[in-house]
Amino acid sequence: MIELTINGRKLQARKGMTILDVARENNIYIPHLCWDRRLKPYGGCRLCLVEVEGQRKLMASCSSPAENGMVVHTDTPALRKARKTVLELLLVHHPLDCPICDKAGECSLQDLAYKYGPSQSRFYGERKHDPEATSPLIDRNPNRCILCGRCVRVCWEHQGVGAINLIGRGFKTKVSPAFEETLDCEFCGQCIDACPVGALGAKPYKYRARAWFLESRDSICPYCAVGCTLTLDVREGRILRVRGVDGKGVNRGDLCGKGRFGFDFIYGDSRLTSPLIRTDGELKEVSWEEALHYVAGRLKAIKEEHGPDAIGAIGSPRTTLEDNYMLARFMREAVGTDNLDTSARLGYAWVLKGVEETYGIRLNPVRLDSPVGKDAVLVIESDITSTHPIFGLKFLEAKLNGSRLLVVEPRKTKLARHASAWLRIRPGTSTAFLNGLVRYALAGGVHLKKEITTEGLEELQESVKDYTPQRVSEMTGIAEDDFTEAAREFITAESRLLAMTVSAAENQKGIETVRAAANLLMLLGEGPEALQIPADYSNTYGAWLMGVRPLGKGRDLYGMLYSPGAVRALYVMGEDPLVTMPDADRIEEALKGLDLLIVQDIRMSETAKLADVILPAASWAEKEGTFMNAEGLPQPVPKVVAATGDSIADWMILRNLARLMGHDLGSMDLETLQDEISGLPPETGTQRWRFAPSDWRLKEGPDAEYPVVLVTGNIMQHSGALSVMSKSLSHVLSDAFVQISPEDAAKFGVEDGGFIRIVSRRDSVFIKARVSDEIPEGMLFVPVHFAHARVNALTFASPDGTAHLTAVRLEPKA
Amino acid sequence: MDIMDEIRDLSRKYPDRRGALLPALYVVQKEAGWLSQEALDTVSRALNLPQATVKGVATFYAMYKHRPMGRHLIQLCTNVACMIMGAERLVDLISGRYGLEPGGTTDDGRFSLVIMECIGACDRAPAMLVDTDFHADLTADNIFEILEKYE
Ligand code: SF4
Ligand code: SF4
Ligand code: SF4
Ligand code: FES
Repeated sequence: MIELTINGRKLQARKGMTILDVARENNIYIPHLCWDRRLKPYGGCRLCLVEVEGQRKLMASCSSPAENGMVVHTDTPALRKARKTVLELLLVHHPLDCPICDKAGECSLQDLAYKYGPSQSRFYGERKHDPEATSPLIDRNPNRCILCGRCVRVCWEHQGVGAINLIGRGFKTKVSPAFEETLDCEFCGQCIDACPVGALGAKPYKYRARAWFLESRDSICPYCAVGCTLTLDVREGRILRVRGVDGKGVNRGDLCGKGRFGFDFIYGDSRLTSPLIRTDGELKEVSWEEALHYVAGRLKAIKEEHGPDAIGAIGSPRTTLEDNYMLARFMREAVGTDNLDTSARLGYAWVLKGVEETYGIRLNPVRLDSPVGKDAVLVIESDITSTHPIFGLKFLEAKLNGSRLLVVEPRKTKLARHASAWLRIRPGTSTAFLNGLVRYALAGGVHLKKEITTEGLEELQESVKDYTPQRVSEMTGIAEDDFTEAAREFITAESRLLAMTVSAAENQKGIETVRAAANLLMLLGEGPEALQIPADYSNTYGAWLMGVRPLGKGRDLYGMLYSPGAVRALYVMGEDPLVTMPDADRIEEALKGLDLLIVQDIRMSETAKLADVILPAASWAEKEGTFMNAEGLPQPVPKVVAATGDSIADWMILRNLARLMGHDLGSMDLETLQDEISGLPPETGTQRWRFAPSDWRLKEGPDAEYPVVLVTGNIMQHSGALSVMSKSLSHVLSDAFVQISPEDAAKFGVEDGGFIRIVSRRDSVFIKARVSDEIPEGMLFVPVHFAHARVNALTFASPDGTAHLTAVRLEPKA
Repeated sequence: MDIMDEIRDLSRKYPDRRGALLPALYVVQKEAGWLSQEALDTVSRALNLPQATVKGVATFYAMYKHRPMGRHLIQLCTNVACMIMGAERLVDLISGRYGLEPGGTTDDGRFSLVIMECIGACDRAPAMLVDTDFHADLTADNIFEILEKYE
């Protein structure tokens, strides 16, 4: 323990803390501009100078370690003078354009100049860089830059991107991409929050408001299951901007582009404003009363004629716990059926099933900081920095702190680029890879040293006996040496973690991958916390817990959407199966065959276009509720703005409808509803380990006729089918595309930007090709977000939960 | 050995890839005498560092050139010691003889002239570097004798 004195106060510090750290921990103010909690000390701005007794020079507190016996002063005449001079020098070439700068009122330079300094410098210099105009979302005015380097360091050290730097030296230095080109980066906007002045800003916010007119409210991000806290800046009832605030939320202030810029989906053009009923083929606006009477009447009639099990419902991983809970009660009590499910069936359900089969527990929430501090971190065929960006950052942080990051991945993802070892695996073969590790571990006898279960061990041994390094190498395309080296590293590590995603949007992993991963970890004596597989979206985990799934004999998603004729009426809440789920043609057939399709959504989705009745729901930020993130943490989502048109919260619609069905659900308001939810019995379970052999077989491997495999997934700037409603995010990317390797492009005569036809066993689509060396030969990658491309017509559903990688062939457009 | 390999080999001598950045920039600069966008991109790919990182570092140091240079680069010091010992007169002489202004290149591409900050040879001022050769105790008499050796 270190003891030092700051401003007469005796304080304690831990080893490794700087003077600034100690001061901050004890609420002692020291100004700073270039310091950032997340970054290594930089010592560039010299504002954090302090006096240390016995030292002739003033010291930069952000980069001076606290030492035993130090006597520090943070506010003396000498320091005030020094700070004044530093500020004066910063102001030499800072344009004093505060009246038109969006940062005014929340600018560190402005505040510090007001506190310590002159408002103008005795010296005068001018910079005449052109403000940058072409990049989407990120507004950059290098003339206002004080060269603190925070944006540059956040982008590289923290985000692992390195899109911008301080180019040049001296007066001419300019914050810019390497060759002054248009920014082509992640558009996370982390650089914006890091900038202490008005040099970087959010374009959608430009000239929209003065900082002092904004009202700030905290909410939870509506996109992925990380559940970041967003600070919403609201003016006159409209959200103008989203910020991350240092230290706040599970994200501690970090945000990705979806969370930061994607909030404007609530202002999307396709928002529904009134209930609609289809009459004579046309959707007509009706009153809520009419719509609900109609729905209640039709549902009652179908129930009477065909029984309650002719009706089914699909809930939403994007609406709140309250909404989903109400849907479950509505279906079970007012309708009387167990036909109920969400898109989790296509992904996360298989994770939970796999975990239950192996570890014997029913839930396995992730811990967002779990990668940090592990010796070896293995990432299996998952682009976590795209699907769960802030969780993804933790893998980079782990690497920076000395973990070995082993990335098994066909695509050159961000994690692959930062990996200690990148094993470029053939898509869809990670189960074989994991089985190979299991065999390798068994052969090395690791399990004999651990007290683990023997249940299923023999079967396991038998099932992996053919996965020799040589065979694994043939199956996965990973060189034998690389495989054994990675195997050795992972197996002999002191502590370890295995992470991946299994989601509705992806098709290269399935329950067999989860089983194989769990088998491996159990062999190594690792509990379920070493297996980190996050739920997909803001409330995927919550919807599952609320019982929006068959609990008894009800039909699940496969039984409703992929079995045409199985149900006669379907109630779809906040989901767009036609876009987000595989085998669109099959789903379309099922939906068109229904007697009654009710879609309750915030917008006119593709599925809604087929509906008989459409009920407009209030969106995120327009209603109160709760999201549960992938850690299982319930977090309140407040109502911040007025609902669009006549839309109301999903749970209210369902409550009102239940009454009309002659079944009062009793929950009158949000509070009683939330009490009811918190009274639900917790999902408990004790671990009971048993091995679950997991063979690897592709349902649809590449062959002579369909030689290329199509992998689907999420990209960094989008999330399912929701984010495309956001004008800001669409500004970065709004067009469907398929990524193809340079080798295949040459082989099939495909040009970058040209259109190609992709043909699978089910259907074919025309789509723009992007030639990219991120993709290996023999693979296509296609993002799932864009409805007009209908890429999910190519894919198929896999009711046993195994990977549904799709084989295709290519035809350049004539 | 191709230049990518040369850089990769070099990077093994350093604890991390960033450490190898300055020497790697020298390697590519050696090829054409300056750092073109392609040259910077080569370094970026060889060291797996973002282009912005490479460009930022390259533009910070005066010894990296960002436009084409003559066949021979004269770097003459005019800091205090050299100035007192007559460096500025040498600048005029060079300009007169070759039509070469500081920062410029002769029309025939033979020489480029760069005024250097101190090169650490104050005891033998005035001093200059021609390419990587060091020349000191320069005078109006010997300067052209030296320069004429560079074709
Ligand atoms: S938006 Fe993100 S990736 Fe792009 S420059 Fe800023 S910090 Fe870097
Ligand atoms: S743009 Fe902002 S954060 Fe970046 S160096 Fe300039 S002042 Fe600092
Ligand atoms: S999308 Fe996920 S990582 Fe990004 S801000 Fe939202 S919750 Fe955080
Ligand atoms: S905060 Fe310490 S030098 Fe900038």
